[in-house]
Amino acid sequence: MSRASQHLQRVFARRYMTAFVLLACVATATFVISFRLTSIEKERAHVLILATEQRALSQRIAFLVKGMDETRDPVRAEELRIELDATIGRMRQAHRVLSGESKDDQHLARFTKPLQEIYHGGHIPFASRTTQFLENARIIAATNRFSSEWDLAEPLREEIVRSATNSMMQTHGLMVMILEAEARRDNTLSKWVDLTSWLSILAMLMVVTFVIFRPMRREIVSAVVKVEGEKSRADSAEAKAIAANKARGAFFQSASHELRTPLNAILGMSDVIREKEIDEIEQEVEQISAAGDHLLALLNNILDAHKLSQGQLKTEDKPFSLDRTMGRVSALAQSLAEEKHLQYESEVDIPTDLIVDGDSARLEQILVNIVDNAAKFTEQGTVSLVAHVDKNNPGRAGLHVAVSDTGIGIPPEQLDQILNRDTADQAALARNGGLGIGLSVAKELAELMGGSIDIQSTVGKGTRILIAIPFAIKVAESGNSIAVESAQSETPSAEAESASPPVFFGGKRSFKALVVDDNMANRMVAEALLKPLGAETETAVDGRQAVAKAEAELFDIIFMDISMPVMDGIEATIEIRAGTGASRKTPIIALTAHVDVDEFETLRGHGFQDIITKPVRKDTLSRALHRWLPDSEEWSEEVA
Amino acid sequence: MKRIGLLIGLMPLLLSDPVAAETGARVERAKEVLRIAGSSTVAPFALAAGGLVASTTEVIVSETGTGAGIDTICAADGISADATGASRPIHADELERCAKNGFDKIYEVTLGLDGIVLAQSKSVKPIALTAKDVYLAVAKNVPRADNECVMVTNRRQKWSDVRSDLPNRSILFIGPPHGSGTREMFRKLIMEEGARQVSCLASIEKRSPTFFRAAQEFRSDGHWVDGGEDDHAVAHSLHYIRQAIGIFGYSHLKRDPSISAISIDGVEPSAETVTHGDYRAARKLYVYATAQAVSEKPSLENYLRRFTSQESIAPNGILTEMGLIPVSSAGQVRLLDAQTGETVDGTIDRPDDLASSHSDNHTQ
Repeated sequence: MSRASQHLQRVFARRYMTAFVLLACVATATFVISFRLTSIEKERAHVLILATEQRALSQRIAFLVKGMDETRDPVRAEELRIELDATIGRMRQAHRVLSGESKDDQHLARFTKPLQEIYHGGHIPFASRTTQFLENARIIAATNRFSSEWDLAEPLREEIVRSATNSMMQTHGLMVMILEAEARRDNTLSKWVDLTSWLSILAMLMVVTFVIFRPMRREIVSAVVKVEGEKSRADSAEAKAIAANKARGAFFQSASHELRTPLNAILGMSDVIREKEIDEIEQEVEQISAAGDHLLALLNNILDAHKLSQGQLKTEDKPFSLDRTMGRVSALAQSLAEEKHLQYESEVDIPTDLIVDGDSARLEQILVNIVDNAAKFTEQGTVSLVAHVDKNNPGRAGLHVAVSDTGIGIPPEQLDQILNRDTADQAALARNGGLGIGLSVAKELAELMGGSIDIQSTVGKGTRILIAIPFAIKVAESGNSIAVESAQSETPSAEAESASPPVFFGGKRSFKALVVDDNMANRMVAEALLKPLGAETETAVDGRQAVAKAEAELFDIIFMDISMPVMDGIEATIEIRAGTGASRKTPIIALTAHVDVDEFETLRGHGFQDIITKPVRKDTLSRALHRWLPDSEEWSEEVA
Repeated sequence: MKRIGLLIGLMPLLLSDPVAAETGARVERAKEVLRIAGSSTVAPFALAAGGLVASTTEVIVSETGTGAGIDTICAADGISADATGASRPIHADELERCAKNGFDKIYEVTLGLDGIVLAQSKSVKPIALTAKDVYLAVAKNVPRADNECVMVTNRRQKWSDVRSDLPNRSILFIGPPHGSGTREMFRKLIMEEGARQVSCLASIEKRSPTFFRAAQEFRSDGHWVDGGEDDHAVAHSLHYIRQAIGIFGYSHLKRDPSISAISIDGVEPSAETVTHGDYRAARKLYVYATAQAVSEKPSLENYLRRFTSQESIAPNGILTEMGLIPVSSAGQVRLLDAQTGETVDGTIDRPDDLASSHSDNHTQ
């Protein structure tokens, strides 16, 4: 998380917390005020009820006294007396509360306060009058209704009735009015408090909005603008990187082509010289040839790595023999081990007639890379190759190859780097100063084919690399659905190139070959390689010359470079095929510095029969001749 | 008999000030108790005069209203007050009742003048009213129009309904109850005059006094509230019931600085306006006692003298300081024949001081 992001998060958290606290405070204050007001109103209502009740109680007392006076029924008189006693008690209790005499009800003092001046002020305090009223009533209640004392107390009864209907009722009524007025006033106050609370909440919301969230909004906008700016810069940088990558890719393509041309000459000339079997320089020629091969492998790995990075590398899906591919790899591994005087052990258990669908060239590339590494980093001991196929899944053949060595091993911290294309170079440099992208390319190729590569290594003891790649079974053991060789005829794959042992034409049969290449060294290599095979060669430096020569003369085979000035190989082939010249049906083999699967199909569409990638090697040429000139008549019919 | 003794022993508490009643048990047996009933307006003066009598006499004052007070001094069963305060003169029918109950002669002591004030809290905007305004606000039924004496129920809710230039404030009077002398004088001095200011009623007054009198009936729809006999309570209530107008004696106005008087017909109540008769709602205050009671209780005679002494009613006298407004007839004592209502000359029981103490020139 970036510092800006952390800052933004802190700002958000702080402001949200502040807003929450502020709003919570306001809400709490509003609740407390509301709760308090409700409590106050409850107590006020209680006092108001008491005062109102006093009026009714005084009337009730007068009524009961009159009732007792009027009744002649002792039972009724007793009932009235009991009720009178109870009413007096209630009125006395309420009087104590309202007049502030009750110590238990001091919490109501704020509401009874306006009444205190009436109760206790003036010349004749109302509290005294009320007490006297109650005392008079108590005397009546204590007097036997049917005694002579009752008759004597008539003025007292009259006074009770008069007092109840006058001062008790009216002054208590005045108290009720006072309490109501206070309630109305406090109600108005309460409304103001409510209004103030509402305004406070609004104000707080505005504060939260304008003081907290608005600046936050600015910060967000600022952050977004900043992010957008950075994204824009990143996009720009990415675009530049893509452009640079493209340029690099183009450079790789171009460099590859440029490098292959002299490499073609070096390797081709080495083969020519080797053919001459000059004893004095045989070892040197071998060295030149080995160095050239190494250089070629490096070149291919660089190109493949680039294509993988661009997602441009594709594998083809052609039938091939797993056993033969493993045979070639094993032979190479043996050769590499022997060169370094290492012990080589091989255990390949693959049915010879198992044909699978896949890219044999890429499989071979993967395995060669791994075997080459094993030999390279092992100074003594053993290099071993174990391969077998599992057919646990119907229709699928899982190829399992283990390549082990007793070499220097790979430190654990470098394992991941070696398998990563982007860091492989550095890791490899750290190991032996070489360009170490082979393993990473192998791993990616394996994954591209649906497989995996796993490395187990102990520093100083050696490395074991496990390769597992699944293939769809095309022809199982003893199957006969498709002939392997016919399948191979469709592709310029390594399988096809080594599907059968080289056939040498030299001395047995002569044929006429046209070599078209703008590079003189390449032409020389081709001629030098073809002539020992029995060829009479003609050359052309561009497509135009090639068309002219093919028009004029019948060639058995034409080797056509693709990239040429004046007229390129594709255009020339199209013209030859479209023309009426003598060589219009002659097999035309494309010579290219590099070729993709898709490109091969395109070239076939333009009239090419096969493709040979540069640098051209003697074996490659002889296999092509074997394929396309075994029987010229048969071939002529096939083309027709 | 013990029970009877107790009851009779408690009888003096009847109509008495409970404070005094509560302390009554501690009063020495030698003390003579005087019970003064009647007008709440007179009550403060009655109490003050009680403070001037000898310590062997205890004066107990109760506020019963003028009418009830007069009834008690002339009560048939003999259990009565010794004297009563009145905020109006005794009525002929009351004198007749006294005579009927065996009280032939009644002493009337004029205390002085008092104004019936209409007051409100000082916290509300002052208003000035006319007697007509008050009439139109208080009367239960009022003429449909000034010149059309078809009486209709008074629907005026606010003062602005009475007169458009009066404030938009609810009409609420807290006034004296039935039986109160102040209520009766208020009706007579203000309501009657107010009714008279309505032209059609003025014209009808002499033709149909009954109609005229009925037109002064107080409304009972909540705009008039009987505040009881306790003037102090009414005055105090104005602090809280701010839209209300209280009606009580001038002396209470003097005691409460937070309330102010409302002018009637442009005259505010004051000692001067009441004395000079400019303020129309002025009445005399009296104390009445039966000659029988005076003769039976020497302390009562002594007590009545307090209302005639200069110590009480001179311009800086105790009662004057309390708000009693001096008048030429203040301190005058008349012995009334209950049968005829006439003043009896050569009254034997008339205290000398009572007759001679007022030498002022106040006119009534």
